[in-house]
Amino acid sequence: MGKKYVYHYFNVKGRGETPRLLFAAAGVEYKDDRVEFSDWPKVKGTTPLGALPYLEVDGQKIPESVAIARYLANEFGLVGKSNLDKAKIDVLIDQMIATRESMVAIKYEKDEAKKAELMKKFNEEQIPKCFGYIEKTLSENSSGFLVGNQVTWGDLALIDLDGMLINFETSTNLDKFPKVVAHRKKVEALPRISTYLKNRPVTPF
Amino acid sequence: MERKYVYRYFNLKGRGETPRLLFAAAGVEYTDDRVEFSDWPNIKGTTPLGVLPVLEVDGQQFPESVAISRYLANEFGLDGKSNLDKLKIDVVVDLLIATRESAANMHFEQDEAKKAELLKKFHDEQIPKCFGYIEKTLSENSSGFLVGDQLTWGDLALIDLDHLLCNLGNLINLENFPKVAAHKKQIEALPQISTYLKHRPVTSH
Repeated sequence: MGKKYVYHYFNVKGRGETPRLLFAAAGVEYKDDRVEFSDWPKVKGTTPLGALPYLEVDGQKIPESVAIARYLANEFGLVGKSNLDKAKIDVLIDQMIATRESMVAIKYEKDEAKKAELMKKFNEEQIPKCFGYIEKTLSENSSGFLVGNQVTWGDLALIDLDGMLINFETSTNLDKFPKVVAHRKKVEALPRISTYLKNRPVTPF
Repeated sequence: MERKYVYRYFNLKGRGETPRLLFAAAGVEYTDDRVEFSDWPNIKGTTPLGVLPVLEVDGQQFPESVAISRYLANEFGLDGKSNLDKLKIDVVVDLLIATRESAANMHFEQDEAKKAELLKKFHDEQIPKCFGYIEKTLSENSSGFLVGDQLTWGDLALIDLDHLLCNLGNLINLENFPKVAAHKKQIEALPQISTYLKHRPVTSH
């Protein structure tokens, strides 16, 4: 009998979308519990860390979206073929996390001058660092995936981040990274991903 | 034939100590290449991301200390017994990372008023959140380890952060977290760890 998964997050992509992409890519059933902001005060106390997302599995509640994504990738075999593959994916994930954190800092910065400074640094330093490394990684792998010759959770996390950048206030242009652009098309065209993207709720972020 | 590892970081504990603890715990030989700050400008360009640490293995270079740690833990069997174990470790590691980042931000904040505000938030929010969760995790596991009944890299990452917070001047009072205090003693007393701690270079942080 299949494992029962319940994934709790808000009705946004935000920090919680990569696990949903994983369930979709693996074709695994789960309960996609989207918490309304208005219900959050009641739900907050029932969570392990007072935050979302968390995953319910085997009667346990596990927080931390990246840890959850890695776990699901391991469970579903979307994690590369060796420990070195896993390490390569983890390195890329860490870069993507850093980029995402920079975006969060920009979004919540109230001081206009400071915000402009952060946006400049983001486009001139963080993006070249992160996406330069990803572009190089992709050019060293003829399959078009980040690692090996099959989709891994690294690929899903990357298209998740791509999607977030497209609408973001830093007006970041990823066209300078042609392999990243090609990667996004390729991964979004995979049958299960394509279907998921077509049917997922449309949310502002 | 044995794998050759070269681990390159500054002559500090800083962000790079957990991999060294892993090599020590596993009793695995490696080249502990400690880079002098004066040599750094010459070496920077040779690294994948212009930062340290870097792990050299199988003719490849990997950045990102946490990804490196997880890889070594996988290689050395110090990563728990199941995917769920690995997930539990990852959750704790994510919390430790967030706490480390907060401590680093505070440390480097020049504005005195802002620094005081960050320190208050650190004590009132970050420490209870992170160490409260860890204290709870430890009290649910009779072995005294974070996960399962053997040492994992989660235990090493935790004592590494304990050391940092104690060195940076009272950033945590472990008496508020008795299981964490007991855990620190237990891990530091393990033969391979005890020997390593006795002989490692003494550095300011």
